[in-house]
Amino acid sequence: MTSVTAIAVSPARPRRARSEPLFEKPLYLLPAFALLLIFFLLPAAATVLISFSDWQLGRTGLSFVGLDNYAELFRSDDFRISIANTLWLNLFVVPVSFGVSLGLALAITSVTRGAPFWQTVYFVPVTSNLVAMAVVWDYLLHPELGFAAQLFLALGLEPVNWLNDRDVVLYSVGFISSWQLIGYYTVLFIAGLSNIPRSLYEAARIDGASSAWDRFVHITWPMLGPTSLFVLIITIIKSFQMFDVVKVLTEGGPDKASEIILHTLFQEGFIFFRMGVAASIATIFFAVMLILTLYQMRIFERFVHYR
Amino acid sequence: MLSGVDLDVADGEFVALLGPSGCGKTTLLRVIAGLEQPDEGAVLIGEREVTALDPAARNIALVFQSYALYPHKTVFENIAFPLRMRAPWFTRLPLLSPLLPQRRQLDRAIQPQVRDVATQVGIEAYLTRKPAALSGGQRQRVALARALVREPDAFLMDEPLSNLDAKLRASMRLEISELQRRHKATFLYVTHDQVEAMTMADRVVLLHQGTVQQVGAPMSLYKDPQNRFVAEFIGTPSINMLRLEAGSGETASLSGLAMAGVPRAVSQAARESGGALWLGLRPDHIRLAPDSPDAIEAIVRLVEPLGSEAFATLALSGPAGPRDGQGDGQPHAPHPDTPRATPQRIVMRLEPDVAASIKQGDRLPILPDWAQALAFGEDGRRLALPAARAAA
Repeated sequence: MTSVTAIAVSPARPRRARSEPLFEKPLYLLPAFALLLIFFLLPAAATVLISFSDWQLGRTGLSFVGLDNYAELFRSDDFRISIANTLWLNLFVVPVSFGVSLGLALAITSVTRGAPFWQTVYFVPVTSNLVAMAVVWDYLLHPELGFAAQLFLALGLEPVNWLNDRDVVLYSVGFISSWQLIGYYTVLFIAGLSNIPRSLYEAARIDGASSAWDRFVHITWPMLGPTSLFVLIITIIKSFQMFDVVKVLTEGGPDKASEIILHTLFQEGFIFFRMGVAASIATIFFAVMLILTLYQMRIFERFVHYR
Repeated sequence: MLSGVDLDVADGEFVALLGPSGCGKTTLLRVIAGLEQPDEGAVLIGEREVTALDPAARNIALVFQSYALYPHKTVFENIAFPLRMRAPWFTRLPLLSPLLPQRRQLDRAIQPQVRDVATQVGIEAYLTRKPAALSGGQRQRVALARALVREPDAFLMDEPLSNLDAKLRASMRLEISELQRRHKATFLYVTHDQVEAMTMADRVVLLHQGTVQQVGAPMSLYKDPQNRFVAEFIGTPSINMLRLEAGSGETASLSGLAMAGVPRAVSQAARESGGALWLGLRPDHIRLAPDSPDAIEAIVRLVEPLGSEAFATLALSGPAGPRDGQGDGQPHAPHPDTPRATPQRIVMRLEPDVAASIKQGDRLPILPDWAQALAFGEDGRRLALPAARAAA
């Protein structure tokens, strides 16, 4: 009798050979893991532990208070304002910096001459130190002497008190943060754009996509998917991490109008020395960022085509 | 890049643009497609002047060397793309258009068209796949289908087979030829591979350094090249170019070797073009001549049996046997192009059974087939050899 053997061909993706366990060479992993442990995992665990205590900076003793710190935060109007401000700022900064940097990248890649010049111009803010630049911004946004005020006067408009008007200050902060980071996102987008083969645009032109809009919709945008996803995640993380602009220019004022979560954290911990409360803010912040990052990857990857 | 290219392609004709890399053939194709603007001159499709028109308005299809498939679209959408672009703008608004009845109507109309061309090129089973999940040959077919679906006035192809392996290339050659005949389509086909040009095209345009060297049927380029470049480019193995200097009467020096029995027409042509010419001999046009007193001797360097035929690479050594008293006795100074240190190499075609009896180092008496010989002047231009042909 003849026997027929069916040979199942496994998918082409290479798999880890079964003979090699995960930690066969743990020594190689140890240095990096030790650093991660000392500087990230242990402090993170300590933060979570401290968040259940009433420890104050400088005090030797502490006692366990359970979820009291969290309860206090959620009852506090200040914390609620801080969260609302942070979310509002994100709603402003994320779309603006994403859209503007994409627009700039498209513009820079389409100019025939001087692309490196423009790229440098928009990248300079990324290299600048915001604390130092705060002096410049302070001057530019000065309610009477500032460049913005003079410009408004010249145009016959009422000057705005950019950093001291409750309704405006959050946008001023958002604008400055966007200004600082847009160059970075622009460079990422330029890299993504330069990876799109020229022949695709030529094929599209021949196939009838004669308008720039059609080429953007059918080639640029889908081909830029992985870059856009990356930039989007980075913008969200970066804008949640906003701190220095507020610290240096407004201190959360006027009247908590520009109070954002990391500034609240800093105030609680290092101004009022209430480390337990600061640690609970940090814990909440960490948890939210973790969930956000995991979920946005999952959600957006469905729309992204990887080559 | 290109200069003075004047090309007229008839409706339904298959024209190959052939030439070495950098000769401007792809540039010519891109000018016709509208991807590049000529500095001067005009492009006409049918009766229509399209020089200033956008590529989309020219109604031509271009198959790219890299296929240029849209990697984020399925095979179906890749093929449907030209049709979608042709439809009114409001049928392709992101998010909104799928709600429109016109869009659904368009989708229904596109379905059979895409399926039809996909069947023609044999990829109907892969319509839902993305290009990344296809083999090179299948991608090539998708690119063809995308060109076919729009029923263009002309098909432009930029080295479409050069990314395929040799076996697949041979079968695709046949398929593309059949496709062209079935659709009675006008094809402009860029290639650096003379086999593709010779086997597929009705006419071949041979380009070199931006100028047209010769236009004609494939065999006329082979048999009747107008200049030395054409002669050397067409034909595998390539033609042997030997320098012939006229002596007195029927003698001459071939690559520095004195030889007798040179037809009057050849030596006459050599004398007329300043005493020397380049003699082009295809590997088929050299024969073994053991009995001829005029034969020259060559040493076998390499024998390449290919099954149905064989090629031998020979090095010219000298006249076969003692040749005292023959010729003018004056040793010709070797031409600088053929220094004696590296003797002139000649490739000749042999019957397989003859080749089997020959081995490296053998001395063979050979003779040019004068009736088939081509002559070129110093400037590379073809010289007429009327009498030599008449004598044959």
